[in-house]
Amino acid sequence: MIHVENLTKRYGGRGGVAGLHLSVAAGEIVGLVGANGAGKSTTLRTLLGLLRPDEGAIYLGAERLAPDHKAARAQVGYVPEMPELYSDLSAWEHLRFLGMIYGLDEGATAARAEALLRRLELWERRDEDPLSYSKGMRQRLSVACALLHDPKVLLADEPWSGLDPLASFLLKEMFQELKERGKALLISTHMLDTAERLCDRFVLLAEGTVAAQGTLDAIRETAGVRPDATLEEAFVTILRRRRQGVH
Amino acid sequence: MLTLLRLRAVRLQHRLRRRARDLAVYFDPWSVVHYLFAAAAFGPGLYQYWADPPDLPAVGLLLLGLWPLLGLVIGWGWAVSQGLFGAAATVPLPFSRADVLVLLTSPVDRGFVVLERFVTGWWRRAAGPVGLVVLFAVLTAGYRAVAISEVAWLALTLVWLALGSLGLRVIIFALGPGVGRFLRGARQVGQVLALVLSGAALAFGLFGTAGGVARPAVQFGSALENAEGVLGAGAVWPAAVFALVAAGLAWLLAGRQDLALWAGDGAEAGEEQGRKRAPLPGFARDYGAFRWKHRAALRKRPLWQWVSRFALPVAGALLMGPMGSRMSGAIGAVMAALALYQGARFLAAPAAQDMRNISRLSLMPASMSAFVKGTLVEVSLWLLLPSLAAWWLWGAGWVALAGGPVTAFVMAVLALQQEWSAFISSLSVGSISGDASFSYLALTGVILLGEYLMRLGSPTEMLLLVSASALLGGIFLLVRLHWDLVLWKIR
Repeated sequence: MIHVENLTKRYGGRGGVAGLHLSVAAGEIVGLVGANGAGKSTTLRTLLGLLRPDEGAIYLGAERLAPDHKAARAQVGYVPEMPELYSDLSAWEHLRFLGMIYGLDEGATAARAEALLRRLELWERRDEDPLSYSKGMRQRLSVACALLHDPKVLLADEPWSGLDPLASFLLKEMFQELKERGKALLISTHMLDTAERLCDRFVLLAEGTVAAQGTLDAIRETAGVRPDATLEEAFVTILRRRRQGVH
Repeated sequence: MLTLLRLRAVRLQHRLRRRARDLAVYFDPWSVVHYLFAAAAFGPGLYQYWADPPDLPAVGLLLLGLWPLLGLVIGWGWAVSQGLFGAAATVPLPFSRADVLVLLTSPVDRGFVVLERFVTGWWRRAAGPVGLVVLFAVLTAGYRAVAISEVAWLALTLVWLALGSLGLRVIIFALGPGVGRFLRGARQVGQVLALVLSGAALAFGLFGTAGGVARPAVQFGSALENAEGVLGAGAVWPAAVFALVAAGLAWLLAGRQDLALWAGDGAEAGEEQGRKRAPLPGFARDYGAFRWKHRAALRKRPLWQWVSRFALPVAGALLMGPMGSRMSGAIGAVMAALALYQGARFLAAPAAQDMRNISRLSLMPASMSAFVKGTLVEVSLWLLLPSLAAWWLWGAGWVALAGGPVTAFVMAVLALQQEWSAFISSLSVGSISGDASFSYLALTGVILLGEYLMRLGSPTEMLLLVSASALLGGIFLLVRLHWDLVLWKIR
């Protein structure tokens, strides 16, 4: 579904990502993991068209994704780490506004908004402003906003950051459902135990390059750790080895 | 020991960096301009005070000139004293150099934070409408009662402006950060208080104008005669009612009617716009969505906010304008300008929120050009055009007062740039650079120039120069707006 070839984005010759190859198939959840500054956010922001890549290409299906490609952008949903919501609009109005932007007719917007708000347990408080919401509720509303137009691809940046166990569980359930419905999900996270349980494959970034990529078994193999090692153990082993200059 | 010293050095470095950052915020280029203006006002004011004491205008100017200096002295003094007496107990003896520096820098940091919160706090919002109405109702009554000169009246006005801004700050300073926090938490209370006070002031003004209950009100009888002479018998009350009705209409219109008729697809209004949006292509559809969002946000503003932001200041202006003297006419114009501008900011705020969410919006299939144009249209509709009208009135008012075309020019440009920066800074948390009260500083400089330098200029010349300044201001606004959008996009 998403295919990235040789993606390079540098900030004044430093940081960013270099030569990144990754793909996410329909019905698959891929975890984008790495230390702070490894290039996760740069990768996501480039995929979203917020940053223009220095080199490389991004494909959505067979179509090359350009930053101003509106039709392609409408196929992507994004859950930011910090929900960016309007203080003046209720949850219901948020979804209605987005429905207008995405060109959905009013009936479709209402039906989809109701389904999402019920699923994300926000229906009872749909007429309240997000200022009165908890962090978890805002994040759930942010997910609803990202899914309103039923995108084929969902990109999420630290979606579990600061969530209580209930909200966190709800999001995991939701992501699992999306996967079963054939959506492609790319999730950037530091929560390796959660990623280990949820994701089918992983892309481990270190200093802007892919240090390891594949299923958990493949990551373990790359790390040279025991077969029952956790993702965290494999991740730390690979990072330490890189820092010691052993590739 | 070495580790401890290293830790302290790091701590000190951190604090110094924070302090430098705070200082950079407080002394940005615009603020420096304001301080320079204050200094310019201060010098001649002081000179006149010593040359010809005790002269009310000079005292007023002196106070206004001292105001920012006082603010700084009080702020720093308070902060340092808090640090000396509050933080000393936590610093282990004997003092190292690092300890002393930390001791000196830490309280300044805290002081700045507190100062910043005060300045951007609830009272400033409350002081605007209340201040205008109370100021002109009470001072006019007082002026008529004691029959002081118009110049003295103007000086009193300026003193009031200074005290209204500085006084609250000093009082809250004196009460300490705990009270400050409480007051900030009680923002709603402050707003309600603002409404009550505004209402009381308006009632006072109206009763006074009607020749009613109090001694100043009796004195106001002549003012009413003047007003009736200008506008016709009984014109003052209808003017006030008109202002209230206008506010109510604006409120209703924002919720139920689309004011942007000129935007191309304006026949579709409000809710209707939402239903018929889907077939609209490109920009019209996208802009329709932004407009719907804006109206939805405005609809949520309670009626009392509309009344306090519009009706009361406008009513005050309408009451003052026709009082019959050059002074009251000028003040009325200035008040109307302030009311217009404040109202415009109030109306434009929801559209401006798009600027903050620009990174999110750029993810949507709505075209960026639609967003940028939509925001520009909205901000123009609600902010720019009323602002230009406001600056024109403002300029005209002060020209009438000070009698100089250059005064009008300098005043309009200065006030414009700093009020705009106030609007912009109100969008970002924690910036003092746009403190609206600085407009009083610009005003001080203008008054000074007008008072001391400008006694020339024909009405035509004034008109041309004020219009030119409004035009320049408009260009300035557009450039700033464009630049801010670029900045937000980059972020």
